[in-house]
Amino acid sequence: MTSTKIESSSAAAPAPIGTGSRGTKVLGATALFFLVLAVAYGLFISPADSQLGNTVRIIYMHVPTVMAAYVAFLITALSSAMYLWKRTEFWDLLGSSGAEIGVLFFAVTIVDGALWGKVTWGVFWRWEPRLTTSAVLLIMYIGYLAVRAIPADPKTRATRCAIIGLVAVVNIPIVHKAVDWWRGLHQGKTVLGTIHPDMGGTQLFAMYSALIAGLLVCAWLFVHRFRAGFLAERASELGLDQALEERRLESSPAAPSSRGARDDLGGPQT
Amino acid sequence: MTETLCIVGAWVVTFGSVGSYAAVVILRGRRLSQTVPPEQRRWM
Repeated sequence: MTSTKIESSSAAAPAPIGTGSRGTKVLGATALFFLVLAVAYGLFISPADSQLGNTVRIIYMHVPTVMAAYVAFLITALSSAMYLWKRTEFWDLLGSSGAEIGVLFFAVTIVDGALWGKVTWGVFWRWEPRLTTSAVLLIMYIGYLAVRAIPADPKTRATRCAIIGLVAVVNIPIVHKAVDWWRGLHQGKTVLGTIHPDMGGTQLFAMYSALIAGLLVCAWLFVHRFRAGFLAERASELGLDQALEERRLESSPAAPSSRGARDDLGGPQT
Repeated sequence: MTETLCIVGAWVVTFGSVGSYAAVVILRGRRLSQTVPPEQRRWM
């Protein structure tokens, strides 16, 4: 029944299938262009670093992913504050999209960092300040997603998540400044807090290409994830409406088929 | 050898994870859009 209704109304003006649009196609194509540049310069054209050697090629992935994660987490925090103020679905969906994308990028950052650590330090992991605070940050946002997965009233769930989103973001400056506040193994002095100060020429080009690509991919994912979340909410509402309608028909006296089906199953005869 | 493996591994992990997640989100969106009326999925 529902599908028939969708087909008849879509004949008037075609609606997009999925979460794509002209804007996401342009965004995706631009991100792809910078990704190609990042791969070409990051893996093949740029020379090895004078200090880091070829492991600088891991940094070309490590820095963009952490920047994308920070942006996603900051958007989650902003959306959380806005949700607590406005109480609208838009801010809840934006916040949850940011948390999910941020967890993805931050987990990748940690894995890339561990691979870099294996070459540079000889071990994948050390409980030093930057790494420890990063692990705590990741766990906090995984907690956000876990709370979101707990069955609850949508408004209650959104409020819980908004509070976690605001608390978790406090950890970002701690992670970022951990290399200055405590002594550890992680590299400290950087340009703009992210890029190696001795970089230049093709190395810097590779880094900025990867950084722009990472942020564009993050933005592209944001749009798609937000729209998928929006569709999930609408589908959930439609499913609930349909279930209520079916229950109403079942309970009405003019529904002999449902009574018959219950009798066939050997249910109680009232 | 370890260095090369770690460099390639980092790029594979990054592209593999983000690419897989993107595929999941796109497919989920396509599946969900079949169940939602067109007037509720008109993007800008």
